[in-house]
Amino acid sequence: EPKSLRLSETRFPKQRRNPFFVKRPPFPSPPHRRLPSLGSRSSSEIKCRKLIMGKWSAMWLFTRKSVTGALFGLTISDRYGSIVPVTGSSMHPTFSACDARFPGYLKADVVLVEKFCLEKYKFSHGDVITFKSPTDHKQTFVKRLIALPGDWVQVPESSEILKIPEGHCWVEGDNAACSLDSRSFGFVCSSGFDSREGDTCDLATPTNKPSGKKEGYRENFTALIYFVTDYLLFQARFIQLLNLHLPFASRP
Amino acid sequence: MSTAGSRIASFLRGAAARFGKVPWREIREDAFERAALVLKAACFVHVVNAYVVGIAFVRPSSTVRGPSMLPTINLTGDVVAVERVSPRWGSLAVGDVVILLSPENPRKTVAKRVLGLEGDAVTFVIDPARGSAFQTVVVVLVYLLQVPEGHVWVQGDNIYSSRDSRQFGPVPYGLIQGRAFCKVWPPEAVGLIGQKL
Repeated sequence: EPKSLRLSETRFPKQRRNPFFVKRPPFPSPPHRRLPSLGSRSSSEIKCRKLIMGKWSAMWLFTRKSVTGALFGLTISDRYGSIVPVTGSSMHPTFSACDARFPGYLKADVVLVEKFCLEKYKFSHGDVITFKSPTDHKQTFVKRLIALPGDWVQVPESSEILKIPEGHCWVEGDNAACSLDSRSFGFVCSSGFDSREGDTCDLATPTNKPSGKKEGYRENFTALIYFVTDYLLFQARFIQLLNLHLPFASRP
Repeated sequence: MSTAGSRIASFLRGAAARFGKVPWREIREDAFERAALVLKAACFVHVVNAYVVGIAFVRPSSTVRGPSMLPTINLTGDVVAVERVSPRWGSLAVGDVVILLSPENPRKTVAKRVLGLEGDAVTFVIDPARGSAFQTVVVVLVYLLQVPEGHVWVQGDNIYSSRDSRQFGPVPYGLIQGRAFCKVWPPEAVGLIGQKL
C-alpha cells in the first residue's frame, strides 16, 4: 500500500520544497587515459560523494536545529523566564553561600526566574529580585526588596530616614554582614530590574536552611519545577541604582 | 418516516466513513509544522530586535514641557532605527542619541543624547530660560559635576523643555536600550542622526 505522505508533500514533494537539497553536479568523469581502473575509481568516487553529501547534510541539519533551539531559548529567557545559578554569600540563609570561581560554582543554588512581572512593574515587599549593578552594568546582583517607591526607609545602623523616590526601591541582602546593597550604593532604579524570584520550594529544603514560605513572596511556579532543581526562585528584574539622595559633589 | 429515518442513518454512516478517511494525521503534522515555522519567525524577529537592530517610534512627551529632542527629532515624532550592539559592547560615545528607560518611570522609554560618560565632568544649566537677555539682573546657576562610575549623563537637544539628567541626575548605564543612529520615517526626514546638535 502506498506510503502515507504529508498532505503538503503530495503537492510539493520534499526535495523540491527544500532549496538546500539540490542535486549536485556529478564529479567530472575521469579522462579516458585512465581507462584500466575506470570501474573501481568511478564506484569509489560514487561512494566518496555519497559519504561527503551525507555528512554535509547531517551537519547542515544539526546546524539548523541548533540555531532554532538557540532562537527559542533566547526568546524565552528574555521574555518569560530562565534558570540561573546564584553565587555569592550576601543572601546567605536563602541561598547557600558559594564562590563565583570554578569549583564553588558547581554547588550554587539554581533558581527559576520569571519576567512576567516586568510588564507592570508591580513588586511586593520581600520579593527577591535580580538586577544589574548600578556601578557596573555587566554584573548581576540578587537581593531582597525592602522598600518600594513612596515608602520611608531607615538606613540600618544610621539615623537617616529616606523617602524612596518614584521609580526606585531599596534592596538589602539577607546576610547583612557581607552584602553590597542599598546601604552602600543607595536607591535602585526599578527600570533596571531583570526578573523576580518567587517562593522557595518547601519540598526540597535541606536541614540547615529555613523551610516554609516567606511573607510577601508570590507563588509562581508549578509543581513540576520542584523536581527539577533544589531551589526555585524567580529571578528578579534588573534594578538600576540611581544615587539621587547623595549629593553629587561627594561622589569620587 | 421510516424512509427518512433510514436515510438519516445511512447519511450518518456515510459521514462516519468519510470522517475516517480524512488524513487526520497528515493534517495534524502539517499544522504543527506551520505553527512551528510561525514561532520560529517570531523568535527570530525578537532576537534581531533585541540584539541587533530595532525600530522605535519616538514621539514628544505628552507633558506640558513639550518636545525634548528638537530639532533632531520632529515635533510630531519620528521612527528611528535603534541599534542594540553598541551599548552591550560598551562603545557608546559622547554625542550619541540613545533610547533608554526612564529612571522615574520604568514603563516609559525616552530618547536623549549622551553628553557625558562615567568619569567625565559635565557642565549644565538647570533653567536656561533664566539667563535671558531681557532681565536686568542675570543670575545663571551653572553646575559642574563628575559623572559617577557606571552612569551616563543624558540631555535632550531642546534644553528648554526637556526632562533629563539635569532633573533626575546621571542615569545608570544599564538603562540604555539602544543607540538611535538613523531616522527611517517620514521619508523626507530619512537620514543618519549626527553626533552633535
